[in-house]
Amino acid sequence: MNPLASALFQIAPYALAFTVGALIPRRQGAAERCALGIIAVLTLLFVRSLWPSAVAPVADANPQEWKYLLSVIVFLPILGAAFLLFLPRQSPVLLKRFTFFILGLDGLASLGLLSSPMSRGWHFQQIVEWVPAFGIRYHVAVDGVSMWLILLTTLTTPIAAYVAFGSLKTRIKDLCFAFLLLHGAMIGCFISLDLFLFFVFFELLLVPMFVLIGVWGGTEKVKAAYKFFIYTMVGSMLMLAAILYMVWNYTKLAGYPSFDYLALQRVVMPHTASWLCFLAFLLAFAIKVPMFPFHTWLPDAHVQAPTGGSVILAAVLLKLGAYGYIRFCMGMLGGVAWMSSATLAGVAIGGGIVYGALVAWKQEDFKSLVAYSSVAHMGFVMLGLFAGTQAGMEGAVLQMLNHGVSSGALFLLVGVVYDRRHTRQIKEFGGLAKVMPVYAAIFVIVTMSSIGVPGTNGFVGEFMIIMGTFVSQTLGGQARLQGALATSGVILAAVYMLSVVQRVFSARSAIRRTSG
Amino acid sequence: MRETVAVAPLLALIFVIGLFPSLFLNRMGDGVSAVLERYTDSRKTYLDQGTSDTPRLTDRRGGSLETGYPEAPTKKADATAPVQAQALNAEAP
Repeated sequence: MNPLASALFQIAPYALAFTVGALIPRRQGAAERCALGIIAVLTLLFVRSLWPSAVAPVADANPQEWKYLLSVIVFLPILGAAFLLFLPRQSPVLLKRFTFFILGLDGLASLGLLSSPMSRGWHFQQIVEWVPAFGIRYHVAVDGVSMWLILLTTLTTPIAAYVAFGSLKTRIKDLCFAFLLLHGAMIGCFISLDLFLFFVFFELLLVPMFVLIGVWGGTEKVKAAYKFFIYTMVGSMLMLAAILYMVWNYTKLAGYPSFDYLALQRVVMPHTASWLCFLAFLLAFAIKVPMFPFHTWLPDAHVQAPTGGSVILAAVLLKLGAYGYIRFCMGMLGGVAWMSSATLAGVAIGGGIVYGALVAWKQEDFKSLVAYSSVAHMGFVMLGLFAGTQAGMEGAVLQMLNHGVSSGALFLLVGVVYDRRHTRQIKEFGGLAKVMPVYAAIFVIVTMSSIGVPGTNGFVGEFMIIMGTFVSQTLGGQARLQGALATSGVILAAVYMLSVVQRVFSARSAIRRTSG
Repeated sequence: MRETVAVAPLLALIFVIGLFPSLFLNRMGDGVSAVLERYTDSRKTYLDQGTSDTPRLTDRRGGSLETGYPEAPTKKADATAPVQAQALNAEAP
């Protein structure tokens, strides 16, 4: 084929995608059309690069993996945050552009993770001795589970920052610093294979989140920030005690200390000690997820946080709890995790899926409704993990991604109407579809995703989790009953989400209701 | 415009994940099965532990899942490492 024709043939799909994206907005702004065109091209590029025929993993191949990539992804935003302190506070434009530059660069760097087919084992591993006397190392690596969570983080943090910069006008330097530090700390949690390093990052992300809620939040921001901080801190203190006990055991048995995950996986303790350590880890992660009955900090935090903070909290922070359960509870204390999985699955269904959905249905605050829907959706995720099947766990990991995308979008959309009406009370809205038809259409699409309509991301994850629950040997005789109960959560999700769609977009507007 | 540009990637992902889930599932399958394998083995180990009050270390598995395992530090002087630890390792099933 003629080289020119061949080149045009290669470029044509991207040109078409750009054209479709650019034609979407009704307004004439060139910047908006360009931005949407670029997003369409990037989406197509992403899909094509991941397509199975595009990646030809060879069975014993050892792809070249740059071992410093993870360190770049983690420390770029952290060092960027440190450098930001030297930029002038009086130049908010410079501060915002610098933050976007760092986050964008980090996002691009994280795409390097897609170059690996993520076969069995650890990838992009880097090990540096840190405190050898205590067996602490800088040990980072990814696998197929953590890779997607890192990509979710690098996608949603810039979006959250972009939205936050639109609505928050004060203390921009502190805001940028908080976002960069939070971004680095979250990624650090996902890649750490040394428990001390994990704990450092786990605690580090509390501070910027506390600041985000406590400084730029709503009327009861300080109370919500303290509640979030203390809840998480209590759990992580107990987790630290469990880590130290396991390290002590390993030191006694092996003759040298190590905080390394690979080493502590080998420790087998008496049953009582195993249960206590498991409960300590479980508490820390159950608070983060959040699982019933440790969920009460979430609605307060979401309602009081600014829109950007809510997006980050829902999209990424909650996933830390589920990821921690996979990595540490199932990976290090799997025996106890197995024995308790049936009970925990019951809690996830009753307290998370069903209770979360029922409470969400009764909420009058828009953000509070989405917060409780997060409790329900994360109940699905935890159920998939407790089922202990390939389908259930893959569904759970996928559902983490799905929840990050759909809940992030929901909080973003709630922020849109809040910025205009300065109220989140659902009864204050009505008939929005007439005045904001595009917004209504987008909201309905995200609602469908949240419910799990086929064709959207939510369906795949929920279907796999329920299927995995049905066939679970771990859950024993209760598997089918629990699967059936979990299915009711899908129906309840439809009830509360469609109810809010009807009230906000279709019902008569509040003004017309009150004037008769 | 800000909100449109912010929500667009999320909307795109909703359909990409919904219509092409295998793009994501293919790359997480091996990681998930490695976790599950460990999880299943841990159950056997837990049951084998029974009522024993003696902590122990399981055997090293080797392979790709143990690359980067922290080895014992090289000793410069007479070792103080307990012989018991090595004996326990040797006796572990």
